[in-house]
Amino acid sequence: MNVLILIAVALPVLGAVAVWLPSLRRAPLVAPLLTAVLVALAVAGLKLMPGGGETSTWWQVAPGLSIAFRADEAAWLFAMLAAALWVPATAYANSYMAHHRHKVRRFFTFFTLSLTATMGIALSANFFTLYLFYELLTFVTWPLVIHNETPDARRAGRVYLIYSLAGAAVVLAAMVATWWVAGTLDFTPGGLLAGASPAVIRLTVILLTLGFGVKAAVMPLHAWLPAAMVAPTPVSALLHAVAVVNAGCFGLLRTFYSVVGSAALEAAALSTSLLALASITIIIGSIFALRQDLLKRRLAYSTVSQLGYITLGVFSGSPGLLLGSLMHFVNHGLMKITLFFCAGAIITRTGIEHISKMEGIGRRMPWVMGAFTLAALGMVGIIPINGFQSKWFLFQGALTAGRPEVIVILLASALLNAFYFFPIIGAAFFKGEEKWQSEGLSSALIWTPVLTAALCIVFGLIPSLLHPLAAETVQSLIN
Amino acid sequence: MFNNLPVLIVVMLLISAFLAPLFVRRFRRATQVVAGVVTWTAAGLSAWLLARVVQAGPIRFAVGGWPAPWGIEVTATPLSAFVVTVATVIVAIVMLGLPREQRDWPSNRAGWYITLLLLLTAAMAGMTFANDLFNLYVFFEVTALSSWGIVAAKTDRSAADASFKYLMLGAIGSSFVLFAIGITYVVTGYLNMSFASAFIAAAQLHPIIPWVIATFFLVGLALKAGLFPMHIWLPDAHSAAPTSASALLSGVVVKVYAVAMAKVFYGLFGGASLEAMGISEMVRLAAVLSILAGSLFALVQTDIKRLLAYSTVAQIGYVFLGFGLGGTVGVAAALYHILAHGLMKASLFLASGKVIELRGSRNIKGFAGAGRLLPLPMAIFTLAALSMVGLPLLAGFTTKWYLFNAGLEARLYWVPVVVILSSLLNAAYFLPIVWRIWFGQGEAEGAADRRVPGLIPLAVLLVAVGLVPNPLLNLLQQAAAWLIS
Repeated sequence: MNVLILIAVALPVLGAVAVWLPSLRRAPLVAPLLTAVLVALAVAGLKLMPGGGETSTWWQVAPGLSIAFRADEAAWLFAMLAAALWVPATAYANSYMAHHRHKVRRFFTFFTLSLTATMGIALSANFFTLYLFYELLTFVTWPLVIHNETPDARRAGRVYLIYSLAGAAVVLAAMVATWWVAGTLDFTPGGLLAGASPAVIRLTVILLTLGFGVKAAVMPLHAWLPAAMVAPTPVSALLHAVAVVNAGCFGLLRTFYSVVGSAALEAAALSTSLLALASITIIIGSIFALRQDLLKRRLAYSTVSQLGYITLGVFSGSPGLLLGSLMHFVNHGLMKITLFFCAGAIITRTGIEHISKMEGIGRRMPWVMGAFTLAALGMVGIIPINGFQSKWFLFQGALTAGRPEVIVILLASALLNAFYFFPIIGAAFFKGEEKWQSEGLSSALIWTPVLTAALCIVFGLIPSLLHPLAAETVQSLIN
Repeated sequence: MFNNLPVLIVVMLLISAFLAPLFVRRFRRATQVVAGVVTWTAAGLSAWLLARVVQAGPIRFAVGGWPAPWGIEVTATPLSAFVVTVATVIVAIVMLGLPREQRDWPSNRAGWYITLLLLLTAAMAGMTFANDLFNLYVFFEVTALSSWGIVAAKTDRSAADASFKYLMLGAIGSSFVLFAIGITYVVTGYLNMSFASAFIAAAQLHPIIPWVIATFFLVGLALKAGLFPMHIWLPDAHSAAPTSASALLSGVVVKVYAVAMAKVFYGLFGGASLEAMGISEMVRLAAVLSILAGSLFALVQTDIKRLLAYSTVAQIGYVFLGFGLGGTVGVAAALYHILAHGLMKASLFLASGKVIELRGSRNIKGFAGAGRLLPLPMAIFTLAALSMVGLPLLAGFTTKWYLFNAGLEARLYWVPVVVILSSLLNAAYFLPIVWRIWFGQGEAEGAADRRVPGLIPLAVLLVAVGLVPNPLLNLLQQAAAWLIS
């Protein structure tokens, strides 16, 4: 049993319990942060330590069903992204919850448990473990969605639960199909369904798309995501921009390439229709985003649209597009968490949630809106921010894969992104009567978005930070 | 030397059943304790019997030395020993709550209630061990009679109504079974199942005859087990009964009828001819209807006990589905679910009993805020509910996984679809309650007494069979193989 994996997956459970320690002062604040830091260090260690890629089996439930973990390239990429962003997000949540005091302990319990579920999904070595933690993620994030306990929150919670449970049930069906055809559930490079009949492969692919597509917000399965924006902003930032939605994307990636396998995917000949689905998600998501006045909802639809970039690469089955989509997997996480951090800081400091009321906000909160602007420019795809790189590699991939129509979709989406982000930036800095002032960097509400925005630039300026990792991952998935 | 163990278990329970009312007036506490000790002893003996049978093969015992086919023959196979062990263990655990439950009962009623519980246990054991149809029928009736009794133990009008409905419909079920036994006897000349089976296999019977026998057995036993659409008595009876009775009726008793069906069907006809006659398909169809309809009915209930009762209708469908799918995997899934569902449903009934007691109402609204009131019982309720939904690592998931495997092995690809659909329906009616328990706004005071005896052992067993199902399933596959051969 690998100690680092044990720490990554199991430590958050202890952290969640420690939140309730009465003897520890400020336990709800300290325990989650400490947990996040330790988990991030453990995940980082997995890459450095030899033998991180070996499977460690924890428990054999029944023949064929075991809980096992492995930190291969794809697993490490997702685990590292989530664990690294968990640290600023927890710091941010601490400050945020200091302003919105409501069931703080309950909040941090489930916030920390979500880390276990996310790490479990990322590091799973077989389909059963993936399914187990995918299901668990629903149950531990549901209390976060309904945290405010308003009628709206309850409704959103119900929608979230229905979508997620139905999705997980479809994943279970896919798992049964896999078990029946392949006789094993272990993730294997090259997939398990290579020899199966095209009908079975097609059925499995459709089930997987429907099941993981829920959390990846593939249209028309996206409705829970905008609704879930009633959750406190740290939840939206971390879960609905990074962990939960990326868990859906990662589930698709993992099962498409380690269960179905790229050869079988090709045999299923579904990639054109799946690409169409992703393209529709990209375009329609952006169009919906245009029409939102609530900032968080606009960001949610932007997430729906941007996740389409990621699923696009996964669905295509071509190494080039997959490379671009993995880059975007990380870059989008960084940019979107920044945007949500900013939205939450604005809500906390000024109480403003609507874009139409944000005139002059940039002069009142220059650091926050500066970070917002950077991330938004990255979303549009402007050099030198990291969003540009994802697009660049997606363009290249589209050309090598012989799908030039993808470029048209991406350009249209960039244009739409500009349409829905630029008016916010314009109004924030150039309209209204506000005087220039500084909000001060002392609060985590302010410095976390600045930090993640800085990371966006760093990743944009130094492509060699991410590109080799993504290329390695693609290599391990498609050979 | 231990060949008479099955008879000993039944007789011990029978005798102590009738001693209870004699002493209950003066020594109520002692009577309750002795009844408990007797049941635990029966449970221990059955577990020992199970271990022996698994090691040394089935035991046949001719009661009074009269050999079959004339005498009464009792057989202890891995299957029957397992079922009796499960039944006695759950009865014994549920009886831990008797002193608390009977606190305000008059002596008379308390005594006879204990009698009925022990009688019920004895009859279930007798029915499971019996190898001849006559004895099976006798114990079948005793089980039914004592069930009617414990339903009516609350002596209010709804309990009397429910019990009467149960009695009437139960009588119809009994007549079907009696008719089937009659035909078997007329056709084969035997009541002993082994002999009758040999006759049926050898004689060139018109195919309609075994079909009629099987169909009559199926209708009668399915009615008693509460399979849809013959379930109409079940929600009334299981919700009107006292808490411990509800837990046992839903958790154990209905399953014994399913086991009786499996024993009779495999004992008389064998798996291949069941499939050929279309009986297996009929069982599967009824099971699927029950699984879906039971859950749909449960979805609209506002009374927690009726909700749990409808959930039993759905869950008994799993047991029948497993038996209907046949094969070692299918039968093992059914047997595993008998245990798993017994533990889950007993936990759910006991935990909700406490809430009902505190709130004075059976409406599910009463669960609001119960999590702060009764943290441990409600945590166990949540665990059992999630197991019902079929979350991995919990017992409910193991059943489902084995049903998938059995379905795929039989090349019936709709099985996973139905089972997954049923999980979703379970989630739809259990999760709102779980939500209410932990996040609902409700009074959080007035819990002087937070203990629910028996709940912790049930939960521990539930977690254990969920986390470590392997050894148990190996045993059950052995039991299944013996039944099928």
